[in-house]
Amino acid sequence: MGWMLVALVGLTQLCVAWYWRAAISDAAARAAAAQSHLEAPSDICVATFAEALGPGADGAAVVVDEVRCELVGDLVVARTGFAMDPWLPLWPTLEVELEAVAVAERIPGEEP
Amino acid sequence: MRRCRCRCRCRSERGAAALEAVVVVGLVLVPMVLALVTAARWVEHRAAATAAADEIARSLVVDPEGADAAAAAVVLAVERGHGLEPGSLWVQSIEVGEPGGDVIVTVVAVLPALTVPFGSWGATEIVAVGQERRPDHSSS
Repeated sequence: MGWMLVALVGLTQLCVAWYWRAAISDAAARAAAAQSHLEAPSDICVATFAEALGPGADGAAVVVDEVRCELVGDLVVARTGFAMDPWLPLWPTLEVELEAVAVAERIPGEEP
Repeated sequence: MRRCRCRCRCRSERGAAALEAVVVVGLVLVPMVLALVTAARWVEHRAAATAAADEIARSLVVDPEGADAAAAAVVLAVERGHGLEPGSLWVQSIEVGEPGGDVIVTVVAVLPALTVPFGSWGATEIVAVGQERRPDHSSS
């Protein structure tokens, strides 16, 4: 029964990790979209990311990296990630890097 | 005689426990792992296809002439961002309406039908549609 318990704990952690991956990926997409507007303030990316994640995100469960938005060609790319301590001994820390994109708004005919 | 009965019962209970373990692993634990891994990949591919379709539609609204290059760049970036293999997403159709009309983009995500920890089996597709309204500057 012991190994079944280990498998269940491992599976549950994977579920939780997938939940966080989806939530943080969504927040990064919102941050990139906010930064993609014409004349968007430079700090809108970080502010939108923090707002989308909510206050309870960065805590005991996961450590969320800061988000960085940059313009790459026609796209605003938001890069972030998170780390999650293992729930079982001898397992490695789960580290995930994420990237979300949004098309940069611009005046037609002008370069971004 | 009493001793024999006890031994027989112990033996049969030991067999029952082994059978229960096989049933639990085969009918509960293994299907649960397969469902979890497959569902997670399904959700991931669906999110990626939706994001790609939305952003390609937006790129067509922002700059209709550079749409092909933007679509390729968006697909690549979304695949990379979601950790998908190159070629997992492809643009099925792009419909561009008149100014004031809609831009409709259909993106297909291809993923294994069943994912197991050491491989995958079959293939299935997820279709996502992105839609944006084209601005109509002539009406203003």
